[in-house]
Parts: sequence; C-alpha cells; structure tokens
Amino acid sequence: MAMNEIITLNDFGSELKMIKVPLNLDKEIYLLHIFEENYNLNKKFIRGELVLIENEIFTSTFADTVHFMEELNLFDTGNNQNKYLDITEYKNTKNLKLKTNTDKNIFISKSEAKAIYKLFNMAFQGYSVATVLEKEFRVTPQILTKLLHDNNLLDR
Amino acid sequence: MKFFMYVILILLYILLIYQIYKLYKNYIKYKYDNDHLQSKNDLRMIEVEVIENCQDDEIQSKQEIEYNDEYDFDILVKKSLYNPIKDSLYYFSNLYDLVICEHELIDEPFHSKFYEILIFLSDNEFMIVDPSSKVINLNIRDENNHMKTSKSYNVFSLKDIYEFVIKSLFNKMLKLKKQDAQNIIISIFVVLLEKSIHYNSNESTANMMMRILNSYKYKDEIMKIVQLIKSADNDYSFIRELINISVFNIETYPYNDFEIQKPLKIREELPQKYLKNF
Repeated sequence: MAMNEIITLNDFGSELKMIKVPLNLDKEIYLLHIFEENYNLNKKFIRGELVLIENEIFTSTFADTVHFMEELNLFDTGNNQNKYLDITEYKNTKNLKLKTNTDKNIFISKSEAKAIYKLFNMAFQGYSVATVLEKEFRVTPQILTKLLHDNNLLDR
Repeated sequence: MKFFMYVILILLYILLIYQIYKLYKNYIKYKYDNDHLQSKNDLRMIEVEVIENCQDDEIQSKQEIEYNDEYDFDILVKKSLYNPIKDSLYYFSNLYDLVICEHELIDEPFHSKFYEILIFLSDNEFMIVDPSSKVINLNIRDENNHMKTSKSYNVFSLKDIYEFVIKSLFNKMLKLKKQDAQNIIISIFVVLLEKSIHYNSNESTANMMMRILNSYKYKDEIMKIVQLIKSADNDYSFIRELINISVFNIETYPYNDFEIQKPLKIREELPQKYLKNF
C-alpha cells in the first residue's frame, strides 16, 4: 500500500512514540501525547499534543490544543467568538457544545470541563515541555494515519 | 617333472578362462554404452524439436512427452514458462510457482490469463476497506496553515487476500478437474475485484474486469461461477467462506483519503515466455 512508502516516525534520529491519555471516558475525549524519549539523559520530551474526540482529530498542533483547553477553562465566561465550543443553556444550566463536523451533539458540563482541564495539566508532569514550543513535530495526514494504525487506534 | 607340467597346464587354463571373462565384460560394456548414447541422441533430437516449435502454442501436447528415467540423464523436461522475478512480480512469484508448477495448471489460455491478472494486481494497488475499522476524521493544519480535513481507516490489500484464498483453496485438498480449478481461480479474482476500490475511481472495477476477461475463451463459465459464489447455499459457497476467513488472517494497512491518486497501469503486451526446467 502507499502507506509503506512514507517515512517511519523518526525525527532526526530520535524515535517518536504516541500515547493516548483519556481526559473524559464518557464523552470519549482523549489527549494524544507525541513524545521523544532520551535514554542517555533519562528524560522525556513532548513533541506534540493532539485532541481526539470520538472519531475526530479535533486539534492537530500544540497551539490549537492549548487554545481548546483555555476555552474549556473559561466555560460560560467565554463568548460567541469561541472557536471550538458553543455555550448553550438547557433548563437554566449552562453547557458547552462541541463544534464538530459530524451531526452528533457532544455537550460538556462544567464539572467535566474542569476535570478535563485538570487532567490536561497533569499530563505534562514528568515531561520536558519547552521542546514542544521550540521544535514541535507537525503531523501530516499520512504520518498521523500511520501513527494511529501502529497504535491500534483505528481498530474498533 | 610330470607334476610340474600339470601345474603349468592348470595355470594356463585359469588364464584362458580369465581372458574369456574379460572379453565378455568388455562386450557388455560396449553394448550398454551404445544403447545409452542412442537414447541420449534421441532425447537431444526431441529437445531441439521442442525448442524449434515452442513459439506455437499447439506444441503443448508434444512437450509433455514422458521420458522414462532408466538412466541418469542430464536433460530434463523443459516447458515455456514466464519469469515472475524478471517481470518484477516479486510478490507473486510464490503463487505463480504454486499454481503453474506445483499444480500443473499450465494449459493455455489459462496460463497467460492468470499471468496477466498477476501483473495487473501487482502494478496497481487495489484495496478492500476493513469492515471492522474505525473511520477517524482528521482536521490538520498543513504547511501553509490551512485546515485540511481527511478520513483515515484500515484497508486490506487485494494481493494478500487473493494469495490467501488461492493457497487455502489448494490446501482444502479438493479433487477438482483441471478446467474447473482454472475457472475458479479466475472467478475468485473477479469476485474480489468487484469488492475493491482503487485510488483512481474514474473507471469502475466492472469495466477493468471486462477489459481483462473480454477475449477469454471461458468467459461465460466464469461469469456463471461468479454468480454461484455470490448466491448462497451451493457447492461454490465455500469460496465465499474462504474470502471471509481471509480477513482475519491477513495484515491491515493504514489508508488516508488525502493521498494523491495514481492512474491505472495496464501493460499492453504480455512478457515473453522462457524454456525452463519443469
């Protein structure tokens, strides 16, 4: 297949790995950690952060991911200029609605939003974060597909 | 003195008998060599004849002359075969050996048609979507900072499925007639091709299939078998089961629909056959 022709995920001699961190299991919101491990220094460097919601890769760059998390953090103090989340009201309770390309409606309550934000910050513990700002690994559709396949994320 | 004479006479007798035995042995050896040479010459003549006529396809029956292996000949039976390695069919060389050489399905026009199918499958990348795969939408910023959406899912390679189904077909130890086996092998290809997709969707798979089968002698029989395989509960439904089983036994590949489409590759002529030891 054509996928065999693309490069393996090997960035300047360092092997990159991907881990799926669950942020909310009910709504199927996951953080995809892309990181590099240096055994000599015994250190792990974050090289990319993506948000996967159900069957959709929501954000593909670190800047977008942080933006998404800040919108969650603002919750109802956000406004209609939000890029990823709409503020809805049902029975006097405010909720966030994801702006997805699919027909499915995904609502996030206040407690869920707080929990997701907390987990997002916890996910960086033990990793070096400065690397992701300096040399972020930008995925292409082909490379990301191969990564998802190698990590069995395409299996049902 | 007399005793001495007797001893000499006996010795002479023994010498004479030994000489006669030696002569007889030489005669036997000479006779054997003569026969051997003649049969070797005969075989050479036959081989020369075969080589001269190998361009004609009618020679098949003549090529299949059976030699008795009384002596250790250095001449073996030769048949005109394709060379999959030379025609860059690395993936299918095992399958070709299995079908054509091991199971001796060498008759024309099947031999050439089967090879044409292998070339067609090898040149083009056909795939079947994995029914158990998740479809993930990707929203990714490209290098120009534009948001691009695409879909990713798992696929099977048609090559793998075709190879698996044919290998397990022979493993079932079925006693098929030569003609039936040939028709089944081609109809499996038709069934699989109908299920598959190609990067370039301008031409439907039905058209491609008709282009390949158009001039084939047993086209009608094959279309009948294809119908039988598709419909349930008959002698041919085991082939559909084989196709279903194959999905659990072969590897999946990742596929993203953002890829650049490749045009369909079709070779105009079949490569040349070579005489090879069979």
